[in-house]
Amino acid sequence: VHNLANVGDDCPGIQGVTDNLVKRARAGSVVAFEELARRYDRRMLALAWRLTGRLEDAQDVTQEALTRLHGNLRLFLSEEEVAPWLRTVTVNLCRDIARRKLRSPIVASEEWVSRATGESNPEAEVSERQREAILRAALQRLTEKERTALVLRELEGLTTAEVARITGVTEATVRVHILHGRLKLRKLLSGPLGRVGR
Amino acid sequence: MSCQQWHEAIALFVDGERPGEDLAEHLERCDGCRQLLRDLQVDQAELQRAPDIDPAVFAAVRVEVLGRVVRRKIWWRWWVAAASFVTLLLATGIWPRAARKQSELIPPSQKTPAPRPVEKGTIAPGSLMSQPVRRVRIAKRTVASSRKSDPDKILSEWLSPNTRREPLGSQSEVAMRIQTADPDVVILWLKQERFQQ
Repeated sequence: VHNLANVGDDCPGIQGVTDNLVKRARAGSVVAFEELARRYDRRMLALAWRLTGRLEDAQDVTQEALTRLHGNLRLFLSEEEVAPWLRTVTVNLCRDIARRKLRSPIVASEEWVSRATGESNPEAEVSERQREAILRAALQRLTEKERTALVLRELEGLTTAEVARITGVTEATVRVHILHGRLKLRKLLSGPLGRVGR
Repeated sequence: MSCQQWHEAIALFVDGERPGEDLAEHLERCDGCRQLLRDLQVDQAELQRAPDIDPAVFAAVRVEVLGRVVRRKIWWRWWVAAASFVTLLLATGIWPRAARKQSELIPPSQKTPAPRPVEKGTIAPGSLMSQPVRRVRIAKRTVASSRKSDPDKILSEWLSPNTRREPLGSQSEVAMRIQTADPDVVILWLKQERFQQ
């Protein structure tokens, strides 16, 4: 499993180094903050990309989240507090984008979903990059709550309680969102992708 | 239990929210549900795999963020410097003195015109509020000898030609009696101007 939940956890001593980074960045070191951003940008960008469906939006969200992190460094004493805070900010920013999208849906997603449901050539080889694009497009077809719960559970590897805390709903509701999201996603991905892409 | 209900059970099982003992028995008999379990597990693996992102994108994000941070720091320093400078000016009195000098440089024609002379019973616009306290004190001192509490007596004494005046040349007096809404409160405005000859 290559999810991002444990990024950095397998490196002994990284906790102390990051704590030191937080301290230095808080003291005004731009170099320390850049290193801190480097530690989290991949994780945040991946999460935002899955949640928003567009790389441009994901970049905007990550930039905003990291800028807010810099403005709120005084809140953190250790790295343990940085990751959940960044994740929550990222999810909230993606939610704002999802609400804006409801008013102006993206046409590009339709193209990928139509490929996934068999309107394109089923014999064509679907690369990993294309599969990822189809997965993102299919995720955009879920409700915002289903998508957030499912992505936080799978990509970030969060427990039901942690997802509930971030999304502000009960654990039972999170289970329902994940269940419905998973089955809907399967329905959207069934077809040529199931035969060709795997 | 229908296959539709088993689908939910399978999704919960994949999510780790449900034990799979009773599920195994159904999966042995149902090809469709067995396929669904496989598909959901493949979906799960794809969802858990982080998307492949070009390192240039991370670099672009970092550059933008650091640019914002540095710009913010620069602005912040400018604000601190400006605030410190203003505080310093105020503390050393340079600014108030400069402001006073500036007002002295204004030609008399541009200065606020002198209040119009008032007569008994009339109120010049803004005259009550704009009268310097210093002048009122002069007037009080002039009538202090009588020490009378009746405002009408003070007025008549003030305006009487028999009242003792300091021989400083020609002078003019203006007196005004203002009755407030409270009948017990009367405001006397006494003004004396002296002209040195």
